[in-house]
Amino acid sequence: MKTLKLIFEFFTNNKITAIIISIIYIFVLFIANNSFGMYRYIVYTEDIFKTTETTDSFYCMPNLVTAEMVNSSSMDPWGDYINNVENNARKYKAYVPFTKVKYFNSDFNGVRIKSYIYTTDMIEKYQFNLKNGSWNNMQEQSSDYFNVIVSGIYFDYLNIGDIAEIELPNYFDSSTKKIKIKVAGKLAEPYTVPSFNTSGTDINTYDLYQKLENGLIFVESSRLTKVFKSVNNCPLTAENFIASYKSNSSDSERREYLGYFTNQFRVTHYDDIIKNTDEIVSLTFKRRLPAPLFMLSITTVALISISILFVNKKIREHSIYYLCGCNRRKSYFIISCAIGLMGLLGGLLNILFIVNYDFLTSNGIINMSDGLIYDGQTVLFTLLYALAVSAVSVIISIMVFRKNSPIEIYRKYES
Amino acid sequence: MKTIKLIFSRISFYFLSNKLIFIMFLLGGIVCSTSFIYFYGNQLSTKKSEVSTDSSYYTYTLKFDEPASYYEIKNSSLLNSEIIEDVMAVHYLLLDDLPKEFNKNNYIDYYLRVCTQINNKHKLFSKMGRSEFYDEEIKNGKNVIILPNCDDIFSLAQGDTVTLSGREYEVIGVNTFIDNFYIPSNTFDKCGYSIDEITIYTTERMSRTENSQFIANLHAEFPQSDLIESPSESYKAADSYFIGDFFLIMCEFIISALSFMFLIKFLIDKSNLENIIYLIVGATKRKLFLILILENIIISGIIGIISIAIHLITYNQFFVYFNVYEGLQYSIMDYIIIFISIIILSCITAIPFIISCLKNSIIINKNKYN
Repeated sequence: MKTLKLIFEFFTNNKITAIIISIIYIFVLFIANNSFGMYRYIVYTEDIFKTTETTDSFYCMPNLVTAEMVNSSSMDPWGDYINNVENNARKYKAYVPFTKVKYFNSDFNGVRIKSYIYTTDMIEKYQFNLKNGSWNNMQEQSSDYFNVIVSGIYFDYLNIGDIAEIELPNYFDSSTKKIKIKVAGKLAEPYTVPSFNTSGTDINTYDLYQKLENGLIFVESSRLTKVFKSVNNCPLTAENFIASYKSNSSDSERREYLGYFTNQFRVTHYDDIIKNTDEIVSLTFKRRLPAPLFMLSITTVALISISILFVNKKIREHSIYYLCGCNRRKSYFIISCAIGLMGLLGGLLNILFIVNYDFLTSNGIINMSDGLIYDGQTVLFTLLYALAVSAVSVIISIMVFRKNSPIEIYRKYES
Repeated sequence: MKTIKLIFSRISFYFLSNKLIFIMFLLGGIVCSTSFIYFYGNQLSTKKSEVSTDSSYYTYTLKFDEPASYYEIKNSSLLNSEIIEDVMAVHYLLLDDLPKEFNKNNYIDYYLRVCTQINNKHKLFSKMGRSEFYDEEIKNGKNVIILPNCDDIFSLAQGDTVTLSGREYEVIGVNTFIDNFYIPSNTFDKCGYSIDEITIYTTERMSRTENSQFIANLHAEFPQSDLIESPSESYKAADSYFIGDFFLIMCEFIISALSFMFLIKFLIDKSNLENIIYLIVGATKRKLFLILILENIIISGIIGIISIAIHLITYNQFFVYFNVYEGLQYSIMDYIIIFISIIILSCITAIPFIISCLKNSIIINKNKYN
């Protein structure tokens, strides 16, 4: 208790300085983590794209709403349109099945959630990382429930194998149908799944994926379709999709196949998507990272300087402690704890924020960005930075402290 | 001179009384100032506007009081100079000119326009199909058209035929503008469309001076026209943000420098006994305040010179990689502004600390040291 008091005593007469430096430190570390997180997310989506697609792939965007679509009575006009396009595409020799995305909204514990329906081929292709559980659990067949992968903090309280219910709204009246789901796995952070909901002239990988903050992933099945029909509901198909050439198709077959798409879609090729993404990555690097790096360097020097200043201010007190019987090791300990506290406090508060980020976003308390990675690496970076800055500050301060013996310091101050 | 000598002797006293603290203060000041130089170049809109590649810096639009002829525009010596990439001639359409597929209730006269790129060099963005004409189509003045991206075109597809101003055109694509039909230049000429407006695209961006000169040339070439769009607007917009941007980087500097001012306060406190002696032997508090401020000006001046030197020497090896925009250069005037700003901002940051050093009366201070 006495030591604790002495540690806090270190900040007497230095309170304002300590508070200012701590606030700046916390704020700068927060900005740095945020900027690194955004940069890492874009790089992460590029990695997903590179590992899941080949140079034969191209992204198709049917931007024009046709007359048939406007007059269609279907609940999923885009789905019908793309299915029709795919059926016609089958006659081409370079055809391979499209990668398309279906989604629907439902309620879970009174909260609206978004769910995606993927085919087994797509799940195999994307190999989404799971935090818990296994994709093999999805193969289990049961008439009582649907096996799903859950994503986000809402489902954290559920364990693998737990059964819960979601409510599917009826499109024609206000009734709902309850569907039982069984947790087969939990999606790992950053909860990124293909969404294909963006079109434009400069498509990059950031546009192709979405963070599924709170949602479910279903595997497409005829039983699921039946359930939707029974409540006059229908999953919607994203209007954009990825098509690709058969690997052993000839150049002329590819040209012919591509012509089929360019007549009715805006097409962005794999290489162009990568090129656009590289530009975005480079731009994000230049726009987001230098400012936090400059601020971090200022804060680092400031923290070290303030630590040296504090030691200089307290050096006389500690020489008196020594003359009163307190040994040098104890003084080192008190100085290290006090300076370490200043350095680590900012780091710990930031780590606390990172750890609770999902909770804060899920509950709508904050919403900083859709594309942000806060994970173990962010925690590790924050921790290492805080430890390094604290260690350097402590070491330099101790070196300053031990330069003179306590009696020399006392004599110096008394003279 | 005596005061300057005194100030330098005090600075050397600060250094000798605690070398580490003084070096840390200099180091902190250099880091803050170097960051300030970086932010000056990368956050100020006026600096960014010098290197921005935004299309608004390459575009001039003229609206004619009396419509011009295609021949007049095509043969203008100014518009045929090397700096011109392309000229888009625009003719405003009446409702009667529109294709029958367009619901006339949704439009008014002169809203939709028929355009042509005289040099066929400026790239259009495609919403669907083609967004450029083949050389053969231009040469032969073929009746092909790129539609605007408006609601009424959903019933049309590539290969369909539309009638514009009584002429039939084959649809080859849809562009991203909501109000522009595009046809080849020779077709535009053949149709005898008068030109109500031209948009000029330059090959490279002009400096402020070149821009003013070019605008003057345009006015001389087409006196019966109004300039409705030019890089001047973008320059003006950038200038209007200057105060806000500069205030922001000033705040960043003050906040960063704040921590380091505690170090200088510690050093001033160490020379407090000397300050009391000055006051006892007749110096006024104002004089002492002036000495402390001058000290700060000299130290921050040294820091500013070192920081600018570091920035200048390592710019191409280090700082250039952190620039948001390529080609960003600092002029001598920029460095002078930065140098003066560093000194003024350091003094602003130091004032509360200097005042706190001088707040006690001579008697209180004397008793404290006795």
